[in-house]
This record gives sequence, structure tokens and C-alpha cells, in this order.
Amino acid sequence: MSVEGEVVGLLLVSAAAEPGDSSAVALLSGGWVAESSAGHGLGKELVRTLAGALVHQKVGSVIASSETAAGCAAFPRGWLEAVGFGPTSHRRVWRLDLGQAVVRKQSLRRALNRLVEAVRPVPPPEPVGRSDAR
Amino acid sequence: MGQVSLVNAASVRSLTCPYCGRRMPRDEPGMFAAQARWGSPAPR
Repeated sequence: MSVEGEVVGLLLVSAAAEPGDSSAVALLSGGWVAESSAGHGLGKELVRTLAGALVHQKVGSVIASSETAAGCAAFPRGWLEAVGFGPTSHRRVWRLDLGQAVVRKQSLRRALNRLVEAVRPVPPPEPVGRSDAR
Repeated sequence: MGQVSLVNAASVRSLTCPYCGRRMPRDEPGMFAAQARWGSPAPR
């Protein structure tokens, strides 16, 4: 990501599986956001853009590793969680499941539709006296 | 908000990590493979 020609954020992506395979995996091999630009959501924007492009290429997931120290080789655990990565059985290895992200979006849409159905206005009740007057 | 764009091979080699000072082309063959397979992640 660049601002006025200067690179302020970077994600390095490597291919880790054969193309066309539904289990194709992309690997975040490194990346950083410049200290002066940290805390403004640039990293999240980079991941969102990357995930959007990879979903179209039928990539199933993105793998990244975590590290406590700030650096380019791995990412802070809290940041990985915040951008949607989940832990795996391997300590310090995190996975962003792109297929699940799409399913979650569809599930959210279905839930919203159900909510709209549930709160759809119903006709007001007839006044009690009207039917009694006859 | 900045512009998301693909950093080409020449410019990525000139970048250093602001935290550890490491030069950026880590796993360069893997990065080239990703670009060849999936193209640019930048919005079209």
C-alpha cells in the first residue's frame, strides 16, 4: 500500500499449493505497516483486498505465522485475530479460511432476512368495542 | 487511505522492514509463483 508514492504497508504473498485445487493455499511470508501509519487499519485493508482477489482465484485459505516481536517475518497474534485469522493445531500458525468467510457472509445475509421477516409489521388489531357493538 | 497496488520485483528489493531492517524479498520464488498464478491483488 502506498501513500503519495511512498510504500507504507506491505504484504508478501507466496503460492503454497497447485492452482485450481480447492485447497490451494496462499502463504503470507512477511509484511509490515510503517510505524507512522500503524493503527489506521491499513493492514486490515491489505488483507481484505488480498482475500477478495484470492477468493476469485479459488484459493481456499491463507496461512500466516505469529510472533510476539514486531517485525516482517511474522505477524502479531492479536492482529491476526483481528483481521479474521484463526488458530490451527500448530502453535504460531494461523489460517484465514476464505471459503468459510464466504459462507459466513451468506449466513449473515440469511440471518438478516429472517430478522426482517420477524419484524415485518402486522396489521393493527381491531378495536374491541367495534365487534361488540353489533 | 492509501492506494493498494502491486509492488513489482524491482521496488520490493529496495524496501527494508522498518522494524528489523531486513531487506524485503523473502521467498522471492514463492512470490513470483503467486503473482503468476493469481495475478495482482490490487483492485481493478
